[in-house]
Amino acid sequence: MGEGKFYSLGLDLTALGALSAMEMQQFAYDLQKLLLRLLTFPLVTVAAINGHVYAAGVFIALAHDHKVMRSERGWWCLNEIHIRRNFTVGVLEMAKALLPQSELRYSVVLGRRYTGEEARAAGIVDEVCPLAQLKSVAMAAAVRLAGKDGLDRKTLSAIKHDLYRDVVRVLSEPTRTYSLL
Amino acid sequence: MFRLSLRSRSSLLHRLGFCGLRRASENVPLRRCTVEKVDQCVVVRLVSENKENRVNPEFLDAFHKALDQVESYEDAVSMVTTSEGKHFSLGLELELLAGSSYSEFMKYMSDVQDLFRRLFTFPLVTVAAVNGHIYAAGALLGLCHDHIIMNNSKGFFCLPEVNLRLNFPVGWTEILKARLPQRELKAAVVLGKRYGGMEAERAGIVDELAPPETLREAAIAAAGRLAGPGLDRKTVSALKHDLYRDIVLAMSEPPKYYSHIPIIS
Repeated sequence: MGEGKFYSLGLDLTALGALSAMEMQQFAYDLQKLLLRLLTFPLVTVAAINGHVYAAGVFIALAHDHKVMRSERGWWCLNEIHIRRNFTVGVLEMAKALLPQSELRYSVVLGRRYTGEEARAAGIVDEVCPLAQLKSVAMAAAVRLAGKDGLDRKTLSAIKHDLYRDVVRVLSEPTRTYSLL
Repeated sequence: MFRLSLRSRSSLLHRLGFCGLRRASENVPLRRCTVEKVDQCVVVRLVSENKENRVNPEFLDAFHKALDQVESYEDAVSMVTTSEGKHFSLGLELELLAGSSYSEFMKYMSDVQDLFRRLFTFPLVTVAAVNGHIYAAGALLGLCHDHIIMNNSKGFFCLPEVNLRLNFPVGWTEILKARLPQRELKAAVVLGKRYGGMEAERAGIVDELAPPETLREAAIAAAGRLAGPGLDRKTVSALKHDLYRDIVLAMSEPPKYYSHIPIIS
């Protein structure tokens, strides 16, 4: 969960611009490792999206099991098209596996912006609520999903690894894109 | 291997008669193909002489020329594709299939696949304004667009291949699986269900509805909503190539079938 107006706006493009090519390569790979770790985390994960969630921030949220988003403010958006970037293979495969198929072309290609309510209606997030209740709704969801006795960590991790096998594979590989842009 | 014997040809035509399909005349020219720019949206209207808009060589040629013209407008960010009257497109020219040699068949299907691929990766936002019946390869043509807006009262969306005893070439089912909701696949693809506009929208097969009188305006409005004015063509093209990678690869391969069925026998 973030604080204030933003959950995450994605990559810090200004700071990254100062990196050398090798450092950039390493950073991109580290980001993939974080997404991979989140995606296969041995605990139930809930993203409490307190505000704007853009680009790489979207993928951080997508890596969670359950997403609760603020209802009255904040947008969900893959704005790569607006900043003339394309996606790396790793996150693109994440999008294809984790977003509803009918929304893919609107969100991934056309950079459609969704409010919390629109995102829930489209099946992109699982729940919406006002900011004041966000933390408690998210915690309630976490408790509900983990169940009375909790979930065995090894099993949970294994099932996540297996269900998202193809995504895990590409996230483990060096960063690349399908098309050059 | 695909072979069409004399016996098979007449049998298919016989079946066409039973299905009540009108036989197309040979070398049907496009009666009208207009390309009209409305601000940053370009409206392409294709109408064949017999108004069925069969996806035949003349249609393909006219469509490509229209797409070239659309791309030549440097500030255009979106395109609406539409037709007139009772049909949007009824699909392949079945007479061409029946009357062709193996190499003619390969050329025909390959050209159709080229158009599908070009549309899928078109560097502008694409909207299909479905004014009437959208059948078979015509339905696939519609599904190559980013957004489908259908009129709410006339015409059906249908993949009638099973009724015509035709299979789908390899790669075409990839398009259907990528663009149709999973729960509709059995009914639409396998069983040839016919969807009216309203049912198609409810099922998630088309994205929007509009009354037939205002279909064109609604399509242009939808295109404006989906395309920001600063849309970059290279980025759109790259993103579409990446998202539809499997479809692009499949459409680039020579036409073939997974299962050989005696479709002409």
